[in-house]
Amino acid sequence: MRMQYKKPNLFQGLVNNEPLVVFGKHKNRDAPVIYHRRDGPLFDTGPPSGTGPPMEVGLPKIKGNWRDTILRKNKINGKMLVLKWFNISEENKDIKLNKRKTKMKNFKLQRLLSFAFIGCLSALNASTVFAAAGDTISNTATLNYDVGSVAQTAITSAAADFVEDRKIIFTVAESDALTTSVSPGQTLAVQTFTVTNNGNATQDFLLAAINRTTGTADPHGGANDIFDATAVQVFVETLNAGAYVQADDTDIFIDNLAPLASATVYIVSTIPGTVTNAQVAVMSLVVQVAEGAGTGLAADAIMLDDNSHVSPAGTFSNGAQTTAAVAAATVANGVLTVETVFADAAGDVDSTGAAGAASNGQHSDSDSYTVSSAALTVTKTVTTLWDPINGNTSPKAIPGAYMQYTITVSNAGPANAVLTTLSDALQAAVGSLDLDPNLILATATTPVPTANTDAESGTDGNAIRIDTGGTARPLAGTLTYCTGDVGDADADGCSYTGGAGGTLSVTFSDPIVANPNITGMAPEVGYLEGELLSGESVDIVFNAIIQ
Amino acid sequence: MKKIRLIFKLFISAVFFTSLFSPAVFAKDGKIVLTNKVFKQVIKKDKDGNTSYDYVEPKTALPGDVMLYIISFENIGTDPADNIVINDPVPNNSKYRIDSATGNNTDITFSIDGGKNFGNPKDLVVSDKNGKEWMAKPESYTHIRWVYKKSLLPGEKGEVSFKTEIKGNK
Repeated sequence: MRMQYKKPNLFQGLVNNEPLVVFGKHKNRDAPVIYHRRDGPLFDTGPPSGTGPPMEVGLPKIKGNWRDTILRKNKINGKMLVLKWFNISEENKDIKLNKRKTKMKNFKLQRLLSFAFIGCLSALNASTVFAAAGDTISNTATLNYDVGSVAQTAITSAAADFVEDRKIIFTVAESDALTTSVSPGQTLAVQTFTVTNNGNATQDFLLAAINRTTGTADPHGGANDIFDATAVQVFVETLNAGAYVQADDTDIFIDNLAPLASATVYIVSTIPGTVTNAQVAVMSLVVQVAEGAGTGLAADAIMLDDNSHVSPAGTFSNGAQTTAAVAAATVANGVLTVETVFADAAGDVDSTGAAGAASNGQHSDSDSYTVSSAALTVTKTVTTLWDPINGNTSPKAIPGAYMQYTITVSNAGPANAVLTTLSDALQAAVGSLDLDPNLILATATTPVPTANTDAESGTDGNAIRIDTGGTARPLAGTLTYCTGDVGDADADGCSYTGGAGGTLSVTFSDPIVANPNITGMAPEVGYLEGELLSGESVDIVFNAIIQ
Repeated sequence: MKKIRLIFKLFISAVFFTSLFSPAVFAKDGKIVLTNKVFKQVIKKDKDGNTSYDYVEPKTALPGDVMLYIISFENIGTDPADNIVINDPVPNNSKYRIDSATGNNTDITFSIDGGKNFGNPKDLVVSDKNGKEWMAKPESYTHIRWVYKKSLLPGEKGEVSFKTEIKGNK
């Protein structure tokens, strides 16, 4: 099948020759039509699904329904981009365009479409045999001719040579477009960035993390910057572990990043203990290009290109390297020499903290730390269960009476909290309290149960009840009992030491077990040992006997 | 008309640059002089924001840049030259730009197999694994061939040209 369509107005105004993608529906199939160039005939390049010849068509493979994939990939701020859909009903017919509308939407559409395929195009580029800075690009023409019907010796032109120059273009991109949630006092708070070398030479990159000034807008829509992270450091992922590992990721500059290769960079800092919930610190990773053969020293930084563009002065490598400001120089330019050209886009900020500029050998992106702390409250209530005179009918708090205490630990959020221990000292003075070792029922008729009749758990010796009914745990309805033994000899997490006026303690990691992978529940509903999610509460219930 | 103007412009630029910068090296082993010059295409904007192309010496040549090659031939002998055929490979690190090859009085064909076979763009097809044929993309062209349809009389000149783009990220 071979098709050629006439050029629609759509191509008006395209300056660069990036492929333009127009979605068309062909009568025989459901596929996009790609037009390569701003001028010349347009080519139907066939289906993208992999059935077409990938080396000869302009569209990369997309798994599944390509149209849905494209649309899904192009949600911006939750808004779906509507891509223009053309009907191509027959071969060798013009694309049916409403010319008037096209003219107006032309520019917009072109931008949408090029955006739509940024990812795909880079995939294509990755497979391209890459030209490198310093390569001589040579061309020699040959001419054959006859004189008087006699073939003459072929003539070869002198080579038209030039040397490909070094283009410095790279990007810094924050990894997930989400703020990094931190807790007050947290150490090793990690933000993740990706640095990609889009130039045509292998380069090193120096790294600097910048604490943005107070009032800087949160790139992720939170409150403005109000605090600074401390102990700020930058490290490069070295083992492709997928996450920062303190012991492994110790490189402080990116060494030898080849064209089209990417590196993962972490900003690692400490969050002050004084910050409060929802406060924000905006951080930027500023990356400075350096010579690929370099060793990460300030002297290796490429501070000047051959268009007299200069890089701002800065401090890199966790403060170890300081680059000084340079002056623009006169450039000796030549066809057969390698020039260096900064082609980087403007980043958020430069290494001096000023707004980022294009073509300065630096690029940057920003992330934010947002404080998310847990608000824990502990309440304690008491009821009288039983007294020796009234039994369980309107019991009074007289000596010998059983008092039931309920301690409720609540997490008002927004962060989840991992509870460690709780201790409660029973009154030791006059009318001192001692722990009821069996946690008798409220309906108990006898305070000292026999044959487990009055023990709430049905078993003697269970003095404390842990009730996770205030949580979203799948087993929240199941009560956990534990023994008030001395020093928690049975390792059930509960202990009671000291007879009357003693101290009860609970170690939550034992009764609140980890639950990382509950069948049928989303993973985020899983629990760490002792964890209380935002909005949840846990009750600790025990009885004390008035002495 | 437009095309003629363009060719004229290119010619003027070629003459300009030849005289200014490029050390013209001529092949001297025949009665035809063949030269090949390369220029970089830059976009010029006038005060009204209209864009046009300018062609300059490729001092700075970066991925994504468009290059113009102008191949000129002149009969410096005393006899007419017939059956003139110019072959030119698409340079390394470069992709042929669609529809960029020009040449008055020439038939222009392309090769996608390293210069073994030549054909018109619509006849250059590749097969996918299902045996279905697709038109070859211009950037897969390996060679360009101009067949001059006339005799080149003594003292006459001709000129052909094409454009490429340097591979890599723009």
